[in-house]
Amino acid sequence: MRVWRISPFLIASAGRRNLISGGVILGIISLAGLISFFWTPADPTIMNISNRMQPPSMAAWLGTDHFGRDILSQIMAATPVTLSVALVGVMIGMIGGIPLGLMAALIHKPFFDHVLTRGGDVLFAFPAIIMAMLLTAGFGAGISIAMLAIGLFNIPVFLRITRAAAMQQRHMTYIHSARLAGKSMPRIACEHILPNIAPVIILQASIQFSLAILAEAGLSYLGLGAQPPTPSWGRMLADSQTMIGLAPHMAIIPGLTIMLTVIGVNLIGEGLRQRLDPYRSRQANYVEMDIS
Amino acid sequence: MAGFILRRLGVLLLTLFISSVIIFALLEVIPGDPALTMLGINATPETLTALRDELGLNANALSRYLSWMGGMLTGDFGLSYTYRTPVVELLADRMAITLPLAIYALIFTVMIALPFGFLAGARAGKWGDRIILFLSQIGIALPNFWFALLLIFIFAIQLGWVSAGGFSGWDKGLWHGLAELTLPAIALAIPQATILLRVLRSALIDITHQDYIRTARAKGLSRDQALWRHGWRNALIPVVTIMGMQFSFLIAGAIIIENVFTLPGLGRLMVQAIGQRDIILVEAIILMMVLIVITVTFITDVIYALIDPRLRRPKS
Repeated sequence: MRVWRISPFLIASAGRRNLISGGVILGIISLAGLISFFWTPADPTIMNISNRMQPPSMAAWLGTDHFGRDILSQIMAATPVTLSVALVGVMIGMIGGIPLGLMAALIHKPFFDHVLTRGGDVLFAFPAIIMAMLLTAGFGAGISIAMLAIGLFNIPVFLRITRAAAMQQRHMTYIHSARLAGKSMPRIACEHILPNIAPVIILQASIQFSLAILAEAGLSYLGLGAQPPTPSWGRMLADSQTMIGLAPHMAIIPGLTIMLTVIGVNLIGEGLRQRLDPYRSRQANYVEMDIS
Repeated sequence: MAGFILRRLGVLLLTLFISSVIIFALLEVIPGDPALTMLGINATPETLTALRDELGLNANALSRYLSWMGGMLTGDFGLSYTYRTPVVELLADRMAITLPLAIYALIFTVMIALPFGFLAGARAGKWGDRIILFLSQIGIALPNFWFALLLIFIFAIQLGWVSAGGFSGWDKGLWHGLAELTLPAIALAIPQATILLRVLRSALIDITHQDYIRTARAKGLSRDQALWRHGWRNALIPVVTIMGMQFSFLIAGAIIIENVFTLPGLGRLMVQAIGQRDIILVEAIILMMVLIVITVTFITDVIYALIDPRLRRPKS
């Protein structure tokens, strides 16, 4: 005899539910991006002027733009660009910020700590977009410049959060016993402190990833991201601006895509928080958005 | 307090100095000849030599940095290459749009975030809180320039209440100028307001669990009275910190929003300067923006210390 159960989704904890819905949203978008490497409904770069600014229909599911290019195909082809710029940007921030943060917290030299934190503050005075403009003025626009700008902006973010979290661990008994057992400080940092502060860092990474997606969209809107003919969500929006009265779908669709992607990432972040930080989340849906 | 302000001022100057070195150095290592980069490959040798002299490219990097910095300190930012006007005048003109826009947006941010954040935090878990949280989830994910486009579509094109962009200057009066900046300010403010709202909400929830609120409740105050009399000030501390950071995000966000609404502010000037490879102008604008960001950080630190006296002492 079969026992009927309520859908696991409904009885799942709030954390689980957020993880699943965020995962589904981001999964579909990533999948569309992956498929675009092999197949898109039409060639995203082929122009067909006689067929321009068509609203969504059976022929072009999401309509066409002012050059008659298929919007769905462009959205799909732009997905890997946005996601990889955001991913690499956050990775640069983590690779640069985490070791520096650990060093600032664990090397017992106030001067050293001071120099690192101040250095982070200086870098933090350059919002990603200003950094991108500085780099673009020097080296010209492109995907790698966008990655670098977002990455540089993320370094002090991870430096701060790693330093603060490692400072709390520094005086824990297990650190002292590891020292007494003869482990060196770098080893303790990697084997004991890093695993213990990993949840904090992962949460921050999810927040930075969603901010990085928005930053990439903003940069490519200004023409500082992927260069034509590579499609990008931001430039699709820039193109739509003058046509918005005639073809509002040209503006609505790329914007919704950006927003859905960011919501997906945020839901995953929220779900992770509720999982990794159950004490705080039990306190009446503790929600905190760190914008740093 | 005076000592605290002096220390922070020292940090500000140091940050500014290092930033200026970074900006200078980055544009210094541009591959190739900056004069050639600015003029493009069709430049005649004569104009090239003239520009090289003007930029002082024949001197070494240190003396060039010193004269650039020395000029900045005496208010001489050099001559914009494309506009042929002193950079100071350009900056002052454009700043008269970017700064009011950012401040206006900050006012909107606070006006939206405080009431809704307080409501959500004081009624955490209830329906009102859930609706606000759901809406804030959308607000955080909203790209501000897309929101700006939608506002233009609705209010300028469909309803025809405002013009789709442009700015006719402050000469037509304060109200006229503010009216033209309203849509851009709202577009800038909404995403930031949702962030601030969440910060206030979680700060209030934290505070509800504090001992002193329990004491206040035990002595007979209602939940709202206790929060209002004892919790409010403490909840402001994280709010002020985040607000300080948000102002720099508003300035950075203004770069994009000015381009959406074609407002002749610093951001639009910057995009044009980059397009025209006017390096003197780019350097000055970036330094100016960094100066705004760190000045706001400084002001935040001071306000922070006014609210919480414990922070005035130097960290041990």
